[in-house]
Amino acid sequence: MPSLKDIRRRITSVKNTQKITRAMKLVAAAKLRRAQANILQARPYAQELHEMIAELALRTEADDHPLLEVREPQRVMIVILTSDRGLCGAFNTNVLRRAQAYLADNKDAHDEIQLSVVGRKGREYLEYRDIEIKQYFAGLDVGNALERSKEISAKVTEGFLGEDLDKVYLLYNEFKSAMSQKITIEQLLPIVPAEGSKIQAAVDFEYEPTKEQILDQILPMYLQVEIYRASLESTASEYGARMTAMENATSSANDMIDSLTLEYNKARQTAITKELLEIVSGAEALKG
Amino acid sequence: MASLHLEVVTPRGVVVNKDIDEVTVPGTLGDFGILAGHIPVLSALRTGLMSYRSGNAVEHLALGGSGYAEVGAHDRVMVLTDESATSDDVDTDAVRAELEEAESELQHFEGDPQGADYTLLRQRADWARARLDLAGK
Repeated sequence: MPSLKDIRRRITSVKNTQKITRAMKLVAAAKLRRAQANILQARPYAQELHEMIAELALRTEADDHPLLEVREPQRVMIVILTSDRGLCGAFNTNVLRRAQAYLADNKDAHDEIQLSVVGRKGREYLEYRDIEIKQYFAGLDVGNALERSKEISAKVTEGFLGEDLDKVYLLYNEFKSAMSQKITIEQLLPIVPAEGSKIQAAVDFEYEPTKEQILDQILPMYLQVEIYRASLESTASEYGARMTAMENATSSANDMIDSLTLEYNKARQTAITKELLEIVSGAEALKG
Repeated sequence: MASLHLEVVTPRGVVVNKDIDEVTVPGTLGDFGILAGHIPVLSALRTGLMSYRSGNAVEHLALGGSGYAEVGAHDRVMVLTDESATSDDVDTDAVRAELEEAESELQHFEGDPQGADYTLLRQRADWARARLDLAGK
């Protein structure tokens, strides 16, 4: 039977933990809102680019562009988005398990599958399992997602154009709601132009300098914004997952405090009863 | 008389969305101005300064990274770019430090000058220079 003091100490400690989990939940909620706001802000840009590429694809023999070239997928790279920090439920585990499953399912289909990992948690997980990591980027956050996606897209483009890679996939948590994320795998390279539904102007553009050079400029922008969007989705998912995890932790702490308080009261009552008994029986004994 | 509709859009959001008289953008082949009634043009952009005028008020904007300007039907000008900054956004000392850092890294760069790292560095330096130009306006 733990002493009253022990139980009181445990209650205090659980209460302190609960303060932390509650604070983390609030922080995660705030960051989630920021990530969601950024997703909305990036939308007009992505939309315009989509339309422009669809239009250009209709007007050019766009297949000529090296970033659109479809090759036999012998060397494949998967870019995995994970987080730097834990305490966010199954967020990282889910996406990394999916990566492992992909490796297991496709190891015969391609000559080589390279992994590029964003986020410390992903690196730790893979290093622990002796899985080789080709590229590593530090984790994503709301503030650095744009810079990070620029780096990632420059790197994969370099690999693809140098023909070190034939196909590049992006694996990440897509944001559904704070409670749920969906693991998504998306083809980054070669770029698949969106289906062009409409040609806006009947007249063709005057191109400065040439159509090809404009494609040179626009396709990397498109790649970058795709990675940016996924990064924001992943960040939003991370904070959503952390928010949920911390919410659960806070309510578990509540349950624990309740049961510890009950235990404490019982122990207190037992002690009082015992003392009373001792006094009464002592008095009885004195009466003789 | 406002006669062109200008939109400047970056991944961070819509930066400019208004009716103006004239706009000058930094095309890869050189700066060019656009007035109402321009033929449809699609031009790649370089890192540099753009300006637009409505009435007598001229405003400047730094554009960075890749981008393009689309002059479409109905006098609609659409500028898409990686980065943009107004002079209020520029902290001169910070940008100057950024530029120096990027330039010294470029000087001591060992590796493939065709590679992605070099390109990223050069973009960073160009972008810092453009913002300093803007601050000097």
